[in-house]
Amino acid sequence: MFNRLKYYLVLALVATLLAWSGTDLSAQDQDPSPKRVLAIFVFKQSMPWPYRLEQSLRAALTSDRSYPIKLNVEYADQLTFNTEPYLEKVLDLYRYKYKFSDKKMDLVLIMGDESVDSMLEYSQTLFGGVPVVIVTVEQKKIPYNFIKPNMVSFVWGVDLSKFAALVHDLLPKSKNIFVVSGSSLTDRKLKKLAVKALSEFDDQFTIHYLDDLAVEDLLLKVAHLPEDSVILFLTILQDATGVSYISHDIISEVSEKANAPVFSILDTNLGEGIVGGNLLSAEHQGKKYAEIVKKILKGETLTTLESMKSGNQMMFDWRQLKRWSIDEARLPPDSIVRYREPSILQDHKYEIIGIVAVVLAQSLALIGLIIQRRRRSQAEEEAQNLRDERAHISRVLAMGEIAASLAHELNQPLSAIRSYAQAAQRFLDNDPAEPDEAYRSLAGIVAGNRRAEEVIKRIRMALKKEPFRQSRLDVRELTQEVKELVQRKARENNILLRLELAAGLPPLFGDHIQLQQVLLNLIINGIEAMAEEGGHFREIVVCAMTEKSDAVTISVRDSGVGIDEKQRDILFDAFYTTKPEGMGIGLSISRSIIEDHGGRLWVTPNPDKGTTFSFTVPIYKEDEK
Amino acid sequence: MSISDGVVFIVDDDSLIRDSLEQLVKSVGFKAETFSSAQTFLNAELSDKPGCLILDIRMPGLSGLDLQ
Repeated sequence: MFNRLKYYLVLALVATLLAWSGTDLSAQDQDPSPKRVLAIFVFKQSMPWPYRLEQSLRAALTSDRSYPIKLNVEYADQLTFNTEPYLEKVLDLYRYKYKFSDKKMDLVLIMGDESVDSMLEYSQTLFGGVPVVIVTVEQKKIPYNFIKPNMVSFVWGVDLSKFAALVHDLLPKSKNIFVVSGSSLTDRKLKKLAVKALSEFDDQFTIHYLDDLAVEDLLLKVAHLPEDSVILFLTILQDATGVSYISHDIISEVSEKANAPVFSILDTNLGEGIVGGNLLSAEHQGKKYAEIVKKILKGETLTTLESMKSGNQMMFDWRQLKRWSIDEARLPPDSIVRYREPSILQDHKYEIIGIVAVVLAQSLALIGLIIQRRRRSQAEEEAQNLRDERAHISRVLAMGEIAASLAHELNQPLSAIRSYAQAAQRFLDNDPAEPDEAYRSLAGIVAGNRRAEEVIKRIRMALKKEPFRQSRLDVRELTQEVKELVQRKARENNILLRLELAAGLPPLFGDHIQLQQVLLNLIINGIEAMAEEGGHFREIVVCAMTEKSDAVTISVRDSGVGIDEKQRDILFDAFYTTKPEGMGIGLSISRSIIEDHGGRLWVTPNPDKGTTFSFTVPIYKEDEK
Repeated sequence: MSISDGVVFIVDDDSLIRDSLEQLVKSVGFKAETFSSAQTFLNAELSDKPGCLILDIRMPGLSGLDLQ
């Protein structure tokens, strides 16, 4: 019973399997049976150049849907392990995978000298008589005894023939070429190619071969090459100590450390720090292999010894050209320049537009502000002109008010002069003549004349029309000048005009005429305030003192009628006056003059009688010009 | 006693006026005595000689009119 159940189960399983394989078979029937290609690469997996080659080969082989090709790739890794026991294991693996498998290969491609050397011997037993394509660096030493009619051989097509000329064109000063290579068979064969290609140029360059160094020593060496050197980096699949490398990795280190530009032979090295060179394209190589494979699978006979030189392309790294100051114009025509750093403009187009826009907007705002400022300063200038004009008018008016006393002031020296002159005449007419006395009288005339001149000078100065200009002023001189102008007027009103100046007053920073005018206005106001009063003790005191560190306070104190609360508020308004013949502009102008100086003008009633007008004027500082 | 013995008193606060008048008086042969204010004139001990007075009216303190 149990056995029977097992039997049914097995039967069901077989049926299922049959059904499944049946659908599989019917699907295969619709496609032509695929050709199987095995590619054996000497390299270890994941090296950039063979990886790209594989991609390219696979893409080219499988692109044709009507002619399906299945590609198997084996990375033999014979650069890391190139011993008999290892080879045995690899062959075992291949035997297992390909010889005893029901899926036989239709074509085998062996790429790389080490693999060619070792695989060729076994290809017949492993793969039978299928076509074999071998690709080597050079063909001189391939084991020809194993070459059969079903085998065809090609060379890599590394082209070093143009290297010397390239160096000569790009870096005309170069004297030394250092050829860097490794110790593996492929490395050595490449070096041989280089020796051959460069031998013609040994009169132009001194050629050094660096193939006997451990990688560490190589890195030290390339950092201290003589001037005017270039490096030709071939491959280091294995260094002199037998350590295998991915030469891609070494080349970036060499390029970084080297004090000379590095050229190379494989396009996958571009971008790793090399300047460039006539580089063998992995992609082109892959396509070329695919072409050959397809032709053979279609039954064409190919001749051996074909090369793939056309797969080389002059390619350069833009950043390295800059690093070594190589002029792009010197590159051979049709060169490809990669890694061109996009200019800042391309890279940050929008940011730059943004910045430019902001800058533009700021500039416009700035221009606007400048125009506004200019307009304002023009307006300010006009306002200042108006103020100057107004101040001048008020000055003329003030002078008008003291004109009568000024006339008297002028009359004094004139009448003295007349007396002196008459006296001199008489002294000379006397018998006997008195020349000494006459001489004294003449001296009096000179003195009188000088005094008249002084008066006229003061009047003219006070009436002068000058723009506002601050300068260094002495408080004593300023108050004294004003005192002399109004002295007479005060005296006519029986008023004593007195100066009360604190000791050691600092110099002021102000406009001479306008400050004089303010004092004049205040004193005249004081005089007029007292003129209405009866005859008691009358005096006007001009005080000056330093209350603050940056200003001097000058005050004019009278003992006149005083000002009531109501008047004080409107006192400084223009055209307010208590005088029958006044214009009412004196105080308002005085205030604007003081404010122009950055000071202030105010009024306080005296405790006993009269009023005190005070104002501040800034102190002159050395750095003010 | 001649007329030239007479003294002219000059009272004026302005020294230039005082001095010029003094010169003028002297040039015609009179003696002159000057005072800078009405008060000093009043305080001065005056001789009994005949004389006349030239007096400025507007002066601080005691005026000419006050003196008169």
